Amino acid sequence: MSRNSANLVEIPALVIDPGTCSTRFGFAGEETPEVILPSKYGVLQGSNGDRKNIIDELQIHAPIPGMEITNGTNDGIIQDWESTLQIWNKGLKNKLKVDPTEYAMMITEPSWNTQAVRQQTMEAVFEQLQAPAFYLTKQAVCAAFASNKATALIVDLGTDNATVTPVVDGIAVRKGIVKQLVAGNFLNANIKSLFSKMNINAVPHYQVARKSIVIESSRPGNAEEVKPAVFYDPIDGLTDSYKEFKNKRIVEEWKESVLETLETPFDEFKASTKNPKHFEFPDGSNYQFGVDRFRVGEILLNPSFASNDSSESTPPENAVGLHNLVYQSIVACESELRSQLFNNIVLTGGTSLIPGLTERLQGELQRLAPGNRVNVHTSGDSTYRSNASWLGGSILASLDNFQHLWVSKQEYDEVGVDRALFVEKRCK
Amino acid sequence: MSGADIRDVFELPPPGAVNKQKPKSQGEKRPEGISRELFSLLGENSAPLAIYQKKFKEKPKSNQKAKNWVWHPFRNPSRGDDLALHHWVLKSEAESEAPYKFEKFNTILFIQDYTDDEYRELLEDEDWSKEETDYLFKLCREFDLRFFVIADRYQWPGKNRTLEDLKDRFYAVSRKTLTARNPINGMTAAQSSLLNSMEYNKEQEVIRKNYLVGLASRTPEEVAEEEALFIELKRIESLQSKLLSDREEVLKLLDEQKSTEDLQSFHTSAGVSGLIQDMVNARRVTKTEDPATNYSAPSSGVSSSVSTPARSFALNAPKVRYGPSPNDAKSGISWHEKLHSGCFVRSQKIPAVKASLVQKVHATMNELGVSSRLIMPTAKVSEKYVELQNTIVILLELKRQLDRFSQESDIQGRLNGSKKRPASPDTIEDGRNKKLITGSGDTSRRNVYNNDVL
Repeated sequence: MSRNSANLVEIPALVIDPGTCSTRFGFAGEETPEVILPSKYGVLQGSNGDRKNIIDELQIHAPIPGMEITNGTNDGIIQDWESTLQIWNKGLKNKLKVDPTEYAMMITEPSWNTQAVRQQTMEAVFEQLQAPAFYLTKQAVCAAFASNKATALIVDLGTDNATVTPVVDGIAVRKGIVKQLVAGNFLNANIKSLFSKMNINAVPHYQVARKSIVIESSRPGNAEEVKPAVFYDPIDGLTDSYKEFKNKRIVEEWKESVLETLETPFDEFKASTKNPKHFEFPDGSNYQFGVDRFRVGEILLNPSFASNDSSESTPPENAVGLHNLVYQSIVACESELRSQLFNNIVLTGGTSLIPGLTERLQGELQRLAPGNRVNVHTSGDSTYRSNASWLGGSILASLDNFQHLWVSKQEYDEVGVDRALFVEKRCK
Repeated sequence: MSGADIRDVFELPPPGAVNKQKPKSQGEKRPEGISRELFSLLGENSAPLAIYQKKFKEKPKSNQKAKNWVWHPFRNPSRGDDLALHHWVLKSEAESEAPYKFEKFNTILFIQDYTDDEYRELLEDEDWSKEETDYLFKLCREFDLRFFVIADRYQWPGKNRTLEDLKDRFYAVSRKTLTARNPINGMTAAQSSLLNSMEYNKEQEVIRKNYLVGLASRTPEEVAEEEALFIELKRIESLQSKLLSDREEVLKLLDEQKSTEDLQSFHTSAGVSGLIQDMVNARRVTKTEDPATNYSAPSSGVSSSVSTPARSFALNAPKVRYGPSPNDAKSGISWHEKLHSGCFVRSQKIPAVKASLVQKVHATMNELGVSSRLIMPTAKVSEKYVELQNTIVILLELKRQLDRFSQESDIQGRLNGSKKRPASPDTIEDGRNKKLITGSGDTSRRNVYNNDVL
């Protein structure tokens, strides 16, 4: 097999895709990121007063007294640079085992990123990581490239935000960007309230020493013997943030396995005809979830279904159904673009993997816009969906046409102080 | 996990069962003189044969020698700076110093440039300051004339520009600059095509976009209504065209002599008879000039369609024939029926009418007192029979057309409401028994036919 040099990536580049839930690292030109680290990290107060960050996807799950779990990224935007840089260093040097000074860096950012953060990103890459070249792309544009379209409407259902960004010819149209806080975290809060309504005491994993076992009796007619679960002694000093983190793990497992959306607007009868799914909690207790799982799944499309018993599970003001959000975004764009955007809607983001969501969204949108042909595209593989923006960054960094767009260290040094505008201009 | 589970996994014996027996058997004792190792190989307990299993695939064989790749720095000429990145290149290519192969992708769109003088002379506009125009052009260059994005990112303090405004200004400036620099007559083909591409009509675009928005925001009821209307329209149109084509056909049959301007005169029975007389006279005139058409009228026994006898009279232009006349005994030319080889039954050679009309034709003949089956099919008799048949077919056709048209005109009359047409449909209605133009045969024969009927 002769290696055609056109197949090689011209410039070795790394792609970093930071998000609220996880940060993805990998080489440009690959299909999936090599390393995925959670954006959450543990903070341990040392005995002599200094704080140590624990950045490791396994270690943060260990129940260590006094360890707080925090997140450096909030609302999709990087807030705390010190911890973020630690995460990046860990990801690049320890996990990926590369030297950042040899590689050009492609970083993705959310469409609503602020100018200040953009500037900080550029500074961090050039000063701290000492990379030779750098570029900043919008995650929506990357998602569009990942689904092979230059013009598309990207609907990103992430952890914190559900956003809709129109991308025209590879550039995001700012007027059409809409977002709302009805996404993964909001669903988590509602699932928690569902558990409490059903009186399910979800014991987190670290407390369970042994699950409760049901021993089927050898002779039919006898009752089954249930051995109760055995718990560890409670550990003192565990912080609330840690406990919440562990509870969230259960909720997210439930979300990933049981949650579903009906393909038509919620109807009690129809939901009851669907098979219920059972879920086993860490302590071994099993519950069946029938209509309720559809009710929770309906929240994305109809926030009024949310249980309003806590501040987190109450939908924010002006929250609308996902299809209405999409419609708002499209009518904010030029009339000529609209039919093209309707035809090329891309659903991406981890929360979009809920079964039934795609068909439901398509049906609702078609009803909102009967004159247009509505087409909602999704990539079939679940890993592609949550890594879509990383994949787009990888594609972009390995494109031939892109190579002259990198921002080099030399240009950065020349610019000097006025970096914010420089970033605006160069990284469109 | 319980202890029993672990023992199960590791296949340990249950506790308490201690293995007390030590394996005592030693095997055969080795003889003196042979070393221990040798004996273990040779003796009873020979070493087990090691079976060499090829667990891995064969090494791939390549005819080519391994190529030499070097980590080579390179520069990108389309960059402003001197960024020297590295990549792996074949050693041969590295030494050849080939230009960066992706250079050619850096295409720059041509955007008109204007000097300050030109601006002052040509491009001044109350609405647009120079700075704003410059800003617009800078954005155009940056975004490669993607107007959607330009309109999105356009931020000039105090002004709210729509996409159409921006496009209008841009194209106007470009057009003016281009024409100023190159007078229209002296332009090259490329420049004039460029000029043509810069046509932009703002009002039209605004109207068009409003239409588009209206189109996109139709409710499903409206869409369904539009569809239904469209289908109706198509149906009416096809009906119209059919009507027209039918009329053409009838007119051809009738061999229209007069123009259709003054139709009023034909609405009375006198008018119709006058028309008939005119047509008869016209036929007489053409007939004397042209005896040959007589012979084309009777079917030659092979086939006849309704239109051939009709069409012979539709040709008003006198036929001019060259050569000897058909009756010229000297030349030995005779015109007669087609000669068949062998013997044949004449009655079988009578041309058949269309299956749908057969019944009616026979019915008509019976009414006239002529039997539908020939009793004595001689040449002359069958000739006449065929003529009669043709005539009847034409008659039936015309009757059918007439019925249809009278129905249509009835409907039209009723639609129009007040206007009632004078008695014409009734006069022509009773086809066979009144004076009807049949348009077949020659006048003499027709008169005979009419006399027979009347």
